[in-house]
Amino acid sequence: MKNRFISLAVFILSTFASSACGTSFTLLTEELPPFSINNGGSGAGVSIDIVSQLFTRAGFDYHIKIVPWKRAVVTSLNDENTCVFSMPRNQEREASYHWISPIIITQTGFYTRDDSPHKLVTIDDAKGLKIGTYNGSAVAEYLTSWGYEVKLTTKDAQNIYKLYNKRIDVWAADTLSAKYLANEHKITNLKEQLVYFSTLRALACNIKVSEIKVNKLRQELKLMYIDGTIEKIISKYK
Amino acid sequence: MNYQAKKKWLSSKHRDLSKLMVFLCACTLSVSCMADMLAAEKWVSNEFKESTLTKEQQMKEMQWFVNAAKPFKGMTIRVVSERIDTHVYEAKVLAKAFQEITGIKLVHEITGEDDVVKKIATQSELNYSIYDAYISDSDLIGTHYRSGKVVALTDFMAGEGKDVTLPSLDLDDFIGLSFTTGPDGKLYQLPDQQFANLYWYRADWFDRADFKAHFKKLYGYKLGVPQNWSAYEDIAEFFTVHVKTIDGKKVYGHMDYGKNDPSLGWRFSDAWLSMAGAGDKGIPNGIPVDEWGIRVEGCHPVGASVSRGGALNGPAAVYAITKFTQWLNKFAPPEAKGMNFSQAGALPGQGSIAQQIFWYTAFTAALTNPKLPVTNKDGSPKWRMAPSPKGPYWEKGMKLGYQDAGSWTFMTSTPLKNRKAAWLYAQFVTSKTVSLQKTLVGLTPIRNSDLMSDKMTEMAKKYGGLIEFYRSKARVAWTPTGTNVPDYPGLSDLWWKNIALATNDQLSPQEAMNKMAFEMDDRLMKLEQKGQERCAPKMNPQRDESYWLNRPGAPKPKLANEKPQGVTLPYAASLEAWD
Repeated sequence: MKNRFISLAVFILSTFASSACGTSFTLLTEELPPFSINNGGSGAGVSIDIVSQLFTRAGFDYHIKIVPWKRAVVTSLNDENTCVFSMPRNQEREASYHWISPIIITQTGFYTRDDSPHKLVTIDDAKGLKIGTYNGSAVAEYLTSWGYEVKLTTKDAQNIYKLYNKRIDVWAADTLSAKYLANEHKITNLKEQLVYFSTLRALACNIKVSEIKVNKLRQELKLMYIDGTIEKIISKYK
Repeated sequence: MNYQAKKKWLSSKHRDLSKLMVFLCACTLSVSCMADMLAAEKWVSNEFKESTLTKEQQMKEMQWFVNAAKPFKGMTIRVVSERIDTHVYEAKVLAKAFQEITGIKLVHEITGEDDVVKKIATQSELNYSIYDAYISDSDLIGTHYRSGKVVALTDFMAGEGKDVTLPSLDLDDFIGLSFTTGPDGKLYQLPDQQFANLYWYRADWFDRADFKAHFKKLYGYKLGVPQNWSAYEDIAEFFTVHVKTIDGKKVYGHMDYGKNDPSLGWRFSDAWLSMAGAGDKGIPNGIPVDEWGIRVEGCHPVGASVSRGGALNGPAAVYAITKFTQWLNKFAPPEAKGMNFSQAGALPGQGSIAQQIFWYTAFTAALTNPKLPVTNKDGSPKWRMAPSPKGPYWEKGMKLGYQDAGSWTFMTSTPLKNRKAAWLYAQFVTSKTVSLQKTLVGLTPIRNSDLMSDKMTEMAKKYGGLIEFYRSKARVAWTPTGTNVPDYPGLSDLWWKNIALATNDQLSPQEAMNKMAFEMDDRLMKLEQKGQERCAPKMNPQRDESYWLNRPGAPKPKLANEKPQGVTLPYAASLEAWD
C-alpha cells in the first residue's frame, strides 16, 4: 500500500488528446498493459483504443489521462464530464455512476510454474495455496471475499518473479495481462491452470453526465460489437 | 493402472457393481469408459450417498452421462450463477464431479446476482457469447420469452438437444416448472434451486409467559404469529419500544435494509406490493395486474401507472412503501438503513431481532449453525418460519409472497455444441442422483421426490418450518416475478432508484411511486416503439385515475381504514393456513 502511494506521489500523468476541438470529456485510466500503455506518445492499449474509437464515433471531444487508479476513481466521482475506465461493474458501485458497458470483457485465471505439483480444477483447489496478485485489484477483492490467502504486490509484474522464486504458489491474473507480461519478461514456462472468472469492464461516467450523451455512447458501443470493431481491436493485442 | 488392472480391481472390490458397469459399458467398452465409470462410482459412493434413487439407478444415470458426453470430451464449458450456498456447492464440488465423470472441463463461476443479470442481458443484447449457460432467476421469464434470444427448452429437448436429454430427467418431478414456462406453454428454463420469502421470528421469545402477558395487556390480543400487517406492526413496536432489552442486550421488533443499491430493488420487486395486496387475484402473479403493478391485456403490457390501468402508484402500493419506510425508521436497528441485502442477512443470526416480515429461506442453512445465539445446543433452531402476514388490500386468491427459482437458461447466441455440453451439466446438477444431496447442502429444493423423501422427514425439525412449507399446497402462492414484466434488466433499476428517494425522505411515498410509475410507463412505451419478438407492450391511453379505481380489482381505491384489528395465531395453527 505504502509503495503504491509513493508511486502516486511520483505523479505519473500523461495526456492524450483527441484531434477534435474542445475538452468536453476527461477520460481517466491507470497504466495497465496491455489495456492501457503509457508510451509517452498517443497512448495505446486495448481499452484506450476502444474508448478512443467510441468517443470519436460518438462525435464527442475527449482527452485521456493515465493516472493512479485511486485518483481516477475519486476524480471521476467528483468532477463533471469525467469518466473512468475500465471499471469492473458491480453492485456496490452501481448507484455512483452512469455505466457504458462492457468496454471489454476480461477473464481472470490462475497461473503456476509448469512444474507445479498443484492441479487446479475448480476455484476451491486454490484454497490453502499462496496466491499472488496486486494491491487494489478486483482479483484481490474477489479472492479475499472467499477467504483465500492472497499475497499482494504493488505491480502485477512482480508476481512473475515471486512465482518463479516459489514465494507464491499461484498467480491470479488477467489472461491478457498474464500473456503480455510473460512475453515482456521472456517467461516461457508459465502454465494457465484455470480461467475462473469473467468480468464486464465498463466506462463509468460521473453521475452528472447527461442521459442523452450516455445513451449516445451506449448505442455506439453496441454498434462497435455488432460490426466487429471490438473483436478487431482485442485481436491486435492477443 | 492399466485396463486389466482396473478390471481386476473392480472384480475384487465391487463385484456386483462391476457386472453392472461392464454390462452398461458393453456397447462402448473402452479404457476411457471404465475410467469414467470408476470416477462415477467414487462420487456416487462418497458424495451422492443421499438420493431417492438406488445405487444401481444412480450408476445407470451416470452411465448415460458418460456416453452422452463423449462427443464433448475435452471441451471447456463456462457457466455462471449467483453466490448462494447451493451454487457454491455446485462450483466447488459438482463441477469437479462432472469433469471427472464426463471429461468435459466445467468452469462454474460465482458472482453477484446483479452481475448475472447484467451478463445475460449483455449476451442477449450484443449476441456475443460470454457463457455457455446461465443460472438466471425465473423472474426474467417475461424477458426471455419476448426476446427471442433464449432457447425454448421444450423445442430443444425434442429437437437438436434430444440426444443429450437425460431419459430419467423426469420434468414432472420439478416443483417450479410453472415459473419457467412462457405464455406459449413452452419451458424456457430448468429450475436449479428454489427458495421462498417467508415470515421469520424468534419462537423462544414469543413463547415467554412474561412477554405474552405484557403484549396482551398492551394490545388486547395474544402474542403469536401475525396474520396481518397490523399485528406485525404491533409486535415490532412491542419488542423495540416496550421490551427494549433481553438479558441486557438491545433487541428490535423488526429488521430490514435501506441502502441505495440494486439489492434494495429486490426488496420490492420480489412481491412486496402483492403482500400488501396491490395486484389482482390469480396465481401465479395476478391477472390482469401483477405484483409490479403492470397491467397486461392478452400477453401485452398496457401500463403501470393507475392512469393507464396499472397499480404501481395506487393506494395499495403507496401504503406498502409507507409501511416499509415507517418500520425501517421506527423499529429496526439504526444501522439497517445503511445496509444492503447481504449485510442485513446476517443480522437475525446475531440474536437481537424478534421478527422479520421479509426473510429469504436461502439463509436457512446459515441460521442453523450451532455456534449462533439463535440455535439451541442440540442444533435445533430457536426460530421458526411461518406464512407471511397479509396487508389490508390483500384478498384470498392472490399471491402472498416471493419465490426465487434460479434456473438454467441457454442463449441462442451460444454455439450449439457448447450449449449441448452445458445442458449435460445442467441436467447433472439437477439429476435425481445428485439433487437430494445438493438440497441437504443448500436447502433450496427443486424436486418433489426429494421433498417427500424419508431423509427430508428426518431432517425437517432442524429447518424451522422449511420442509413443512415446501410440502404444503400453499407454496404455489409464493411466486417469482412473472410474464407481465417484458424487460426485467431494463426496468428493474427503477425500483431501487425511486424507493431510495422515499427511504431517504427526499420524496413522499406517493411522490416516489408517481415518479416511478411515470418512468415505468415511459420505458414500456419505448419498448413498444422498439418492438419485441413477441407480446411487446401496447400502451393504454391515459385516463382519469378514477376510471380505473372505480372498476373491480386492481388498481384498488384507498381503504378508509388501513390498520384493521391485529390478528395472530399460534405457530401450529398458522401452518394450517398452508394447507
